[in-house]
Amino acid sequence: MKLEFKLQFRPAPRAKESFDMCVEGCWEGELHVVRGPSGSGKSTLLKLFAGLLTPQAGTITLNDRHLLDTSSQVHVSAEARRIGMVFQESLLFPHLSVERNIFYGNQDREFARLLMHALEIDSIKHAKPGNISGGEQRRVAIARALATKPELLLLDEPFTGLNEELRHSLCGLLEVIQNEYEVGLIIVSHDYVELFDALDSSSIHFIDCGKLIED
Amino acid sequence: MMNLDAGHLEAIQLSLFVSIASTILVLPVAITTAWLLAQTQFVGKSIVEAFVTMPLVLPPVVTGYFLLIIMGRTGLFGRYLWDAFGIQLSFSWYGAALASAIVSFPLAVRSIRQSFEAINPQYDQVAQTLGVSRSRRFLTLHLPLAMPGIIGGSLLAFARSLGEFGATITFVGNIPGETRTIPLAIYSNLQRPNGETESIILVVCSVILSIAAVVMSEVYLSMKRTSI
Repeated sequence: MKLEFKLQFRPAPRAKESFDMCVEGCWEGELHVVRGPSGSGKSTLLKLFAGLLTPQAGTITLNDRHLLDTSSQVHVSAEARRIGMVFQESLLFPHLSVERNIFYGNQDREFARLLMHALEIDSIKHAKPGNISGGEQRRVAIARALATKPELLLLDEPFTGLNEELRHSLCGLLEVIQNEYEVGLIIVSHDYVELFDALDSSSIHFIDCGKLIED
Repeated sequence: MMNLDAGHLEAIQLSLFVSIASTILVLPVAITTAWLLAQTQFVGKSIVEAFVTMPLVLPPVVTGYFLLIIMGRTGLFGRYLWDAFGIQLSFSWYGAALASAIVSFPLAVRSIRQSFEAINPQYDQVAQTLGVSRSRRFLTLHLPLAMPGIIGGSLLAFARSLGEFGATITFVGNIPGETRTIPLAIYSNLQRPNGETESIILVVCSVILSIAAVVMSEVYLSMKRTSI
């Protein structure tokens, strides 16, 4: 994965963030972790990558595909970016079963079934999201995002609310996903960076007050 | 003594028929308007909001008067309906359904809008990242999640239609078997000497139907509050 970006973003007057975001980078490699204190702009950065927020100025290029260039009016919508996102809360659609959640944006049912098997959620496929555990919800949310075969998967605080055993299990799962499905991963996490064996220092980024501070 | 005669039955049947037709008529417009007001931002939104609320604050007789001017057989739009299709809304039961639909429209929009507003906006963001188009998100995500509110709003609109009087009598008159719904039949009876006794059965029916619709509406609206 190669993600190049240069973004300037001023949040709406009543937004949670009180600072302007100004970030720039060229990230290569399949796994990146963004760390930073609460309210530092981590989730905003992911939403900018995903196309859920529009910066005032900037460019985003993913694997040489221009997703955004404000100077030449290029703006690929969130629906067409092929960037999946798993939010801090799993946000499974409450009216749909686990299986229907995973099929929701998916065109390839067979691939979705393989994912359910790989993520060990096929036994709960008929359950409603309200009837499964937090760890299962997180895996379903990841399967749902992966089922659309994204080029890049963004995970916002995926370890929050999970116990140590589930954290290790999810971490192993993410490394398997990264290797098996050839998808780039950007993980926003307060902590737990040590869980990833494959991480080197160039893949860990620190953000504070809307600025990326590279180690 | 309360006896259900043919006139009573006619009024009850017509009321139910007009109220059902009015609810069917109002629902697609109310859902679309409520969704636009809840989920989108556009220039002139507050003007649209005021316009939507208008039938709630205007005297129903005034609404009926406007309907007569616009949709009457010689009205601004009604004359084209008559010339092109031979349809006359004034003094007909479908005119009564239209009058009820307009009067119940703000109530339906309010209930349905609240249910759209109660949906966590992040669900929509998730669906966007899954590559789902806006129209499909509306059909498969927003509508099902707002369904208890939509049903509750429909029942409320139905109940309001059952009680509609002012706009109906102004626009479509009080024609037995065509436009004389329960409220109009009660009114007609009360104009006659000793008509109170004949009105009692219609009053009882009206109270029962309205209470049933409002209670069911409240049940669905509370489902909305607890499920999203």
